[in-house]
Amino acid sequence: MKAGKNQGEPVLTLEDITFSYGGSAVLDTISLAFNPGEFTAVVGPNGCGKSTLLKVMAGLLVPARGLALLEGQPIPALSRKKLAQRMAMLAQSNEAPAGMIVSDLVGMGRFAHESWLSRGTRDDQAHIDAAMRTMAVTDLADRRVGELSGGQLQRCRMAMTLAQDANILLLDEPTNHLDLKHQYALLETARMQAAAGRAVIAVLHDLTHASLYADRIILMDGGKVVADGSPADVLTPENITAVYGITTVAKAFGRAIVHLPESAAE
Amino acid sequence: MKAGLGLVLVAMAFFLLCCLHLSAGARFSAPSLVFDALFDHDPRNYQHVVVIKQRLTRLVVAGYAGAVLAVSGLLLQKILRNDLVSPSTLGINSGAVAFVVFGIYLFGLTGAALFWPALLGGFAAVAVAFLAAGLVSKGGRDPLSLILGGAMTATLFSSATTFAISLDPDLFGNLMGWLVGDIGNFDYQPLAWLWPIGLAGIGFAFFLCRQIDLLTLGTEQAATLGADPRLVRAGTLALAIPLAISAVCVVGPIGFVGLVAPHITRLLIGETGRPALAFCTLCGAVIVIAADIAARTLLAPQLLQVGTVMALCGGIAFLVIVVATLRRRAA
Amino acid sequence: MRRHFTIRLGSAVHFPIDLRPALVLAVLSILLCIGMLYALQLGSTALSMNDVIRWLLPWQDADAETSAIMLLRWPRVTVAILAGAMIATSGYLLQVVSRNGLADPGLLGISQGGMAAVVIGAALFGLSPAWLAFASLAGGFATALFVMALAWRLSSATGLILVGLAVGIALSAAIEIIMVRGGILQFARWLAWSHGSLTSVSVGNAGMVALWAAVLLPLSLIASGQMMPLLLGHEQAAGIGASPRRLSLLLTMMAAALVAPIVAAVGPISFLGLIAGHIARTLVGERPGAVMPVAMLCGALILLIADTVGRTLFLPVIVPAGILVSIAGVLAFLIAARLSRSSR
Repeated sequence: MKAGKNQGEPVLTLEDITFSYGGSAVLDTISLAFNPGEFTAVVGPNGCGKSTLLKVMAGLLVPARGLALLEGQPIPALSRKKLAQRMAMLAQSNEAPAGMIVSDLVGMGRFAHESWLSRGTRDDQAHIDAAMRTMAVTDLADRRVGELSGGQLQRCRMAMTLAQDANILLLDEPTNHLDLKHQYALLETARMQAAAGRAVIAVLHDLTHASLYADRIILMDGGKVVADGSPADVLTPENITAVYGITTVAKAFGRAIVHLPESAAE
Repeated sequence: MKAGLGLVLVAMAFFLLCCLHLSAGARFSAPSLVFDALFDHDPRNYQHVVVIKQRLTRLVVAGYAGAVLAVSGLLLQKILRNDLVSPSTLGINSGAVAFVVFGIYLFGLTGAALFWPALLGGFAAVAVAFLAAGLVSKGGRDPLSLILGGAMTATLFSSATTFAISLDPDLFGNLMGWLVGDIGNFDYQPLAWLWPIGLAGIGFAFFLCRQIDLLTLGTEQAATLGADPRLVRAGTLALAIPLAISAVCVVGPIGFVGLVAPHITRLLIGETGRPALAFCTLCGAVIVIAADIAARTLLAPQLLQVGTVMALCGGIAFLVIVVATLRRRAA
Repeated sequence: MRRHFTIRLGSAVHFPIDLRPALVLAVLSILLCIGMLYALQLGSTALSMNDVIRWLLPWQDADAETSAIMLLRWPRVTVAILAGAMIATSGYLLQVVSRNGLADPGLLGISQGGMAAVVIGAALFGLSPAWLAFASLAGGFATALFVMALAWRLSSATGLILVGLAVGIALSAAIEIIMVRGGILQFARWLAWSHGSLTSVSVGNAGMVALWAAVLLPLSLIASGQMMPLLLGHEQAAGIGASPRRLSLLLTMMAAALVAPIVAAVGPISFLGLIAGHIARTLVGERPGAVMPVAMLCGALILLIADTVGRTLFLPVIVPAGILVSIAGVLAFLIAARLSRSSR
């Protein structure tokens, strides 16, 4: 895996993806490519299709038209295990049985690498330990899920996703339930995973966070990609007005771009 | 649709079904005959006697049971903020039956005295349902938990009933119809002293209507709007349960009126306010009268039990409601 | 790290077994053996433990009286143990699929579907018990498929349970209409069967149940290794590489198959799956690989005790095991609820 942005072939490609639910088109002819070493944030208003996009990429939803390709192979053609070995997803819903032990939860990230007769190997354990260290949850290893706070649970789930050791990380609103300190920590982890050569794609609802950590931002509205590029190029007041329907003034603080409503800006 | 229009429609349906009920039976009676039987009664005319002594009494019993069960169901659904509860799905009916059966077996109670074990059984069932619901979801306010708790309660009490019956089946021989819920030819007798309960209950429901409506907004919201949530909640439960029991004592456990009537009410005119309550009352009466007509005519001359007809239709209705509710939530 | 030992065979086999579940299983197995001995001994005609053991040992001859009694008792005891295990397994499978600890084949309509098929098979076609098992299977499968189809779109766990509940209620009503035909005695008898009764278990029944158990119980144990991702919900399960929809369907079908012969031979027994699953999870945690075998043994033990108590404690009345399971089980459940509430 090479570090740096835009190195080599795209690992994940979407060609003319269209997806409908019921009558309306939730995704409308979307074509995108994702490279290793890049942290992409997908943002947009409620109902714009960003979560659906992620699910199509994860192979959870089959598009009505178009192709989703993982390293050149069509995603529906791959078995779930094969897919999971190369692509990990952190789902939005943080369901987990209250009685489950944290080390078991994180251990589930190794499911794709296990077989009927072989699991819990030293290699598996090494990945689990490393993931728990990265997410600072090693001291929670013997606790039960029911005893954890929302934030602790989310970090343990992120550890599970890291333990999967896949080249592509899909994160669906990963900062939900986290307080500020842990939000930044998780985003920083995501950025470092990208720096290590993985392709990280996260659905985020906070534009400022997205601008601060992501290399690339995809702004969506009504099932279409409105803008795709660096934070400065995408998060312009014109785009914000067009998509969110509010007039804002952009202020930059280092990498971060903050949008304030016109009336409050002075 | 507007409440006024709804009320008119349901009143018309009620009137029509009453007429149909009095005419229908093993042998169809012409409307003119029914009219004569009612207003120009000839005690020596056998057909007049059938209309008055058999059909009219059944009509009154059916209407009462339906009205009272429907109101009970509406109150339960509003106060527990759960579309799927009803006297049957919460286990109230099963609890009442179990306690009555034990009352007969252990204490040899009969007649009017059975109201008390039935009432106790109803309250016990609700308590058990809440306890069971609390076991799985902390707090137990999750709608599904309550329904499952009710299902467990119903099974528990029906097991107890089965046990008691197996100890001495002959003792319960003439109760078989009541056990599955039926309108017998003599059910109007217990009704004679039970109807004040039903009437008072419905009256109180109208009185409390406004406060109950406030509670449907959530306990905290209701409190800040001026109602006393715990008092209203307790009061409504104390109202809903005896209402249901008064029906069970007369006709046995008839399910699903309490579930379906509020849903129809909600669909047509919403569940808020006194007009909705009135609509629900009439709607319940209409449903049970219709079920009784079906029970008496579907396999004539053989009689079906109203309870089983209601259970079958109600079960299917429950299924439709569940699927529709889930579709709506998933969309 | 939890204490465990691992079965290793080169690089292909690396199978860790946790110590605690292994210990629990050992204890439960011993309890079950003891229970079986007592169950064979106790009854309306008491036998001495000596007679029982002599009858069990193949190289000793038992006297004629013991053999005669055993002929009636051993099928019953065998079916109690196997049925308990199978129902508990079925319940646990459904609990994992629906992600709800209250799921149970009786609550999801599967038992009722089997019952309906049995009632129709017996009343309309006069089928023999062996065929009734297949009828029950067909009924259970059909119901499970129907429920899953209705709840398919909504891969929400709640939907599955609610739809199952509704279907179960509708089916019960339909069955009731058929059964209310005869007088109070037939009604009482049907009521008893509908709550699960081992009274009329024959050698043939025992053989049939044993056959189904021999196939399905090992299959369930193997499946338990792949079930864990389902606990995280369908989305996340797919995210880590499982195929949740296919697995859910398969497991639900297995659950239906597990109760089919039981419904035919004994009638449906509600709550056993729920209780056994709950106890197992309290003892060994959430890992399906550990819970499944423990639930099997718990279920076997509970039903064995319920049946033995039912036919000895209230003599001359014989209380159907299903009723005892329901009453005792729900009461135990409620006590557990009070305890866990007061400890919070």
